[in-house]
Amino acid sequence: MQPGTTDLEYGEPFNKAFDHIRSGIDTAIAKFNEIVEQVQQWKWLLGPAALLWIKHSLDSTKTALNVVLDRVEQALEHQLPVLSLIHVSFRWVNDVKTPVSELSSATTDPANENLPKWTGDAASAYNAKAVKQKAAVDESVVKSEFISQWLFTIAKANVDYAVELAKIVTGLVGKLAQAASEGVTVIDLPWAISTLAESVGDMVTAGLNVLLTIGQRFVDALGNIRDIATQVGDHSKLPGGRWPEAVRG
Amino acid sequence: MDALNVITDSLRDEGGKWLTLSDQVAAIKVAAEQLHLDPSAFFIGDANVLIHSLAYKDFHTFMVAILSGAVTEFEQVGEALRRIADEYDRADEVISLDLNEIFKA
Repeated sequence: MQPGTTDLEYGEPFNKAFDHIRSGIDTAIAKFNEIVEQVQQWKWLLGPAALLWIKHSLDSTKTALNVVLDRVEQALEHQLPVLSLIHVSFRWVNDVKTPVSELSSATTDPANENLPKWTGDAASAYNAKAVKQKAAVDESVVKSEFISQWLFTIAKANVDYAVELAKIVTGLVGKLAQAASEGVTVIDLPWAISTLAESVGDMVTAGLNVLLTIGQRFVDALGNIRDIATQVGDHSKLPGGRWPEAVRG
Repeated sequence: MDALNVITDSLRDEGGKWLTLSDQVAAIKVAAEQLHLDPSAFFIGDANVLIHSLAYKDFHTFMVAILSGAVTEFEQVGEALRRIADEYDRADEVISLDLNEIFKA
């Protein structure tokens, strides 16, 4: 994954998915109520058996709708915090990694071209210290890159989750709108609602499975915790997990 | 300009370089400090985010500590180089110095 220098790459599809979710879920609820109204309208013409059949189908549609609503509510609550994670992952690159990497060559490049004229014990000691400082600078660059990539992996799972949730909501709206338009006559109504219940149920089940897979990818990022532990515990260039002391005290 | 002045000048320039580097890394450290994340920032779906959040917190703390170390060390290297230049000027030659004394804050 090659991140750009701004967070638009992740932030934009993420927020766009949420726009679709927000407007879609409102439409879905409106369409569902529309269908319920149609049933009310024809109730007097439908026999008890047909009504029972319709009620059963409407209930299972409602259950599927509620499952999606739960996911939507949970996602909406986390939209802004997760957006901050996306920002932070880019800031590790832009505000830490890049500026630290710019310091690297300055550590060992002499400020004054006459510095190599300085020779002897003190000069060698200083040069050795400068090399160690440079190694620590470079190691900090590697670590900032590591943490930003780790966060990008998590950000990507979140974007995918939001996009998939938006797809489920959009699909739901499509099915509900179809049933609402097909069920305008008393003859077609029971059949339209029964088809609706079945297709919505299948669609939501399939969608939730995809969400589960994406959730697993988020959990799998935990495997990288071992990488994190390795990063924090790798003391070859940062002895004792600290910046190398050039000057004691 | 005699040979000694050439060396002490370049030592003072080199010391100044490290003080500048110290200021630069201090600014980066301040930027890094702001990069904390709440547990709610990790996932929009239904998943346990606690371990992710704790791992990040550890890493974040570690990075800020590392960068703080750089601020201190860079400054001390800069000061040590200036001390060396002062010692040479005082002796009027490039003398042998007690390195334990020189590279001590």
